[in-house]
Amino acid sequence: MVKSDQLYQLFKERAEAISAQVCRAATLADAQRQIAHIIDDLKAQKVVAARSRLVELMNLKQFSAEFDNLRQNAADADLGISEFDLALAQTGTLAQDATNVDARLVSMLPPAHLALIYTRRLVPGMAEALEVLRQKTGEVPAYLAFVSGPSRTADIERVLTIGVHGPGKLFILFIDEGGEPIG
Amino acid sequence: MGKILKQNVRQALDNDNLRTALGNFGEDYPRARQAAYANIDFEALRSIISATKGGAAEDMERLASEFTRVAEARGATVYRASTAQEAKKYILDLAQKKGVKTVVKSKSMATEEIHLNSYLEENGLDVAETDLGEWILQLSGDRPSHMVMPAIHMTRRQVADIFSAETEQRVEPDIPAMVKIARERLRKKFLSAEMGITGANIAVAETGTLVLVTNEGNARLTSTLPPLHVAVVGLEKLVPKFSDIEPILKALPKSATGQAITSYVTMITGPAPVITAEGDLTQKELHIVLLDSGRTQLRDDPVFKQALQCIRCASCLNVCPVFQLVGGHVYGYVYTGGIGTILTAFLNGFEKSQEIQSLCLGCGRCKTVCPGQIDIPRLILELRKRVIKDKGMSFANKLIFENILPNRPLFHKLLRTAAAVQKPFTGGKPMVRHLPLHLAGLTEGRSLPALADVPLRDRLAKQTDDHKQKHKQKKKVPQVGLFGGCLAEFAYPEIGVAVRDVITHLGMELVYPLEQGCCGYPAYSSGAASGAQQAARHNIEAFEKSGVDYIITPCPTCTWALMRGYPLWLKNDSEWKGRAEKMAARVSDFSAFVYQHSNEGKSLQLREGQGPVVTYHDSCHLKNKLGISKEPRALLTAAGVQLKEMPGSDRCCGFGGSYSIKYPELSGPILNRKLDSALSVQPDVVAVDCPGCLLQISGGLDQRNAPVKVEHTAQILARSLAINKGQK
Repeated sequence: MVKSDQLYQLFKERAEAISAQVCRAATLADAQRQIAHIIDDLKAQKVVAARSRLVELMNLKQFSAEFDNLRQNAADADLGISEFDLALAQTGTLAQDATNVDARLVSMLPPAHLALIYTRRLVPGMAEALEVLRQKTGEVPAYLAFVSGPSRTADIERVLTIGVHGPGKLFILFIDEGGEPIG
Repeated sequence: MGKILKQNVRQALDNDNLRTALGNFGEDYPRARQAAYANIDFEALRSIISATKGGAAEDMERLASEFTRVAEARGATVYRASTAQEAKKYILDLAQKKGVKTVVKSKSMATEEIHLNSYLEENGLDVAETDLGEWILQLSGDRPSHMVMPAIHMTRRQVADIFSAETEQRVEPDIPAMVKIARERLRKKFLSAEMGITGANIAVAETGTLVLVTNEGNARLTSTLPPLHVAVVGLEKLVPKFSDIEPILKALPKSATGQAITSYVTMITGPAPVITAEGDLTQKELHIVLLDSGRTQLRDDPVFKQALQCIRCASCLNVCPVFQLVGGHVYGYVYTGGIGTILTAFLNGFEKSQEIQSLCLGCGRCKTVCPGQIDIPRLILELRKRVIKDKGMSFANKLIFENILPNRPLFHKLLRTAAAVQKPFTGGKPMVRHLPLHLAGLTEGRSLPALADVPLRDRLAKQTDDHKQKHKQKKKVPQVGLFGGCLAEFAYPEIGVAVRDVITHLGMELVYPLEQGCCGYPAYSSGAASGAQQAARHNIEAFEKSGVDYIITPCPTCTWALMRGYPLWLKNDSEWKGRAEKMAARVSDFSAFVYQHSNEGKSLQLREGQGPVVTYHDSCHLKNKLGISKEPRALLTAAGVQLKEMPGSDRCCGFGGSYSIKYPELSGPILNRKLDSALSVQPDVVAVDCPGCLLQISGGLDQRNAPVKVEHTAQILARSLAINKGQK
């Protein structure tokens, strides 16, 4: 777990520097508790999520999360939740095979996003990530999304503003229990 | 400079908002860039990028075919557009066939270049730019002034007024609130648009992948919500392998905005599923328009081909002293700044670049930061050469560059005559503050030096090759040939004398070949190729005759001319090419030479202790073109001065040769900034290694009545020697 810890620390440092909020759960149960906490803090009334194995394990129905009609539902939700495939430590970046349109809708339309990622899926940087994403499916997925922090702009007077077309808040929850190791 | 350009420049200079925005950015950007590249070997990275993109440019046709085949196998439709018109027509036809009414666009320089928006709008489509800066410009009918920060020239108040008009409500100049308005308004467009148009930053032939980078998230929404996505991609975006993405992605955000990575990087390979506004899950339709429109022409040009290595980061704009003053609108067209001038020539028409290329003052800073390793200054000079070939030179320039400068006896006679009759203007003083009548512009912003009564060649009478011939002195020690340069010869001969004293102290003998004339750089930088070549041949012959072991000059522009210019200018001349290279191999700049031959200054045995406070100005040609900056500082420290660094020591002084005469309105503010920097550390002396910078800075200080001296490193060293000798 030592290398994972080093990578985690680097990731956390880099991601927080670009305004993401990073937390970690040792177990799946702990992860569920942290999710409840985040939803509570945000006072999120409506939550949408993209189906995946990890998302299933989080039992999001307890928060009345919506999984269908996402083009409508994500557009007026307060929080979107989806699973990401890789975490790139050097830049605090998350990578996702986002071919499934649901993942894209829930991670881009609501003003806040919670990204779930297994700690075992940490890699050093982009070079390694591109290799893994290629190997995994043999060909390149139709839509690969790399997300580093919330959306931002400095187009007006170069003053940095967080939250433009994508979410203004990005929560990243690392989960130690489970997940397929790289390599 | 044409009248319209002059007007635009004046307008930009008078625009306080623009000056402030650009000025602040000019200060922040180098810091942000340096922080982003900390712990990264930029030189190694850009070697990789330039090799990849350079190879791809050569291979453009094959890569385009491979990309087309692979992308289409993945379900995309790829269209090769030879011209801008073909691209626009294809997109319009597609939109009309599919009943598209509303289009959302994420930022794409390629679509700006072909004026896609206006074409679609003329044909009844509603086109919404979604990049915040671009949307603001669209609403106000303005044009982008920068490739990456298109609305940098606008204030929050101006944006508030624009948004107030758009929303028909009173909008306050509160930036977060205005961004929220943009989010809400554009969200509606994203959700209702039938077509999304993007560009692409990279196109991978091996996998048929398009890579898009944004911070706002608009490219993601543009490529996710509408059921039809069109990507307009210039052929130069093609790279061979998926793994080629990483080095480019590593450099682009760092060079563009000082970020490690943009908030979103999206890699699209073929169409992905989409949910329509009606709620149906279906396959998105993806059309990729590969745009030629001048790019194959660039590829076929052996000199300009390297411009295809551009990754559109805009760092050349960000470090350009002229761009920092006037911004992008002055450049008149879609692509701005140094690379913009070149791209405009090939992608939008040679005529459009003819005037704006004259704005480059040749400092070379852009070349030191370009991730594609493009020799932008050289390409601009090449453009200048072609402009002259096309339009011919003005009579005055022709006279100067082809008849006077290359004719040494005539040139020198003219200067000696001028020196003899200058008293009414100089009043016997070393500087001229005001020239009369139509010459008044020459002393705008800075005084000019009086011409020396006794030029350098007369002061070095005992060192000339003529004299040594006559006295048949045996050569016991290394012979160092001095190339004085015009300014040292006729305005600052004391520099040449100081050089002699330092070289003698090193145990070598100085030789001054009398036949030497102007180095040829002024002709070269004005695009007068034959004048430059004439000067080269003339000086090569002069120094061959003198039989010296080394050749040094106290002027980095001359150093560059002799060392790099002559082999370049004569590379197609079979008789002279080898001779130019032989001479070039013996050439060094004065400070680098002394540094090398004195154990980095340590064996100079100069005095120690409290000398004057000296601040060093890095001449553009010395640092940017020759990579020399630590050597003069080591020598000055050895000379016992108190070295104090000024902020922006390597920012241009604004001289640029004849630039300060042609464009005093640009040269002046650049100089003022330098003077403010230098004076801020309260020096006794400003040290320089370039007589041109010396002229510019001392002239400026004179008009400010500042009691600060400007001296060449050679003079400071020579004085230390004299003091030393005196003390012995």
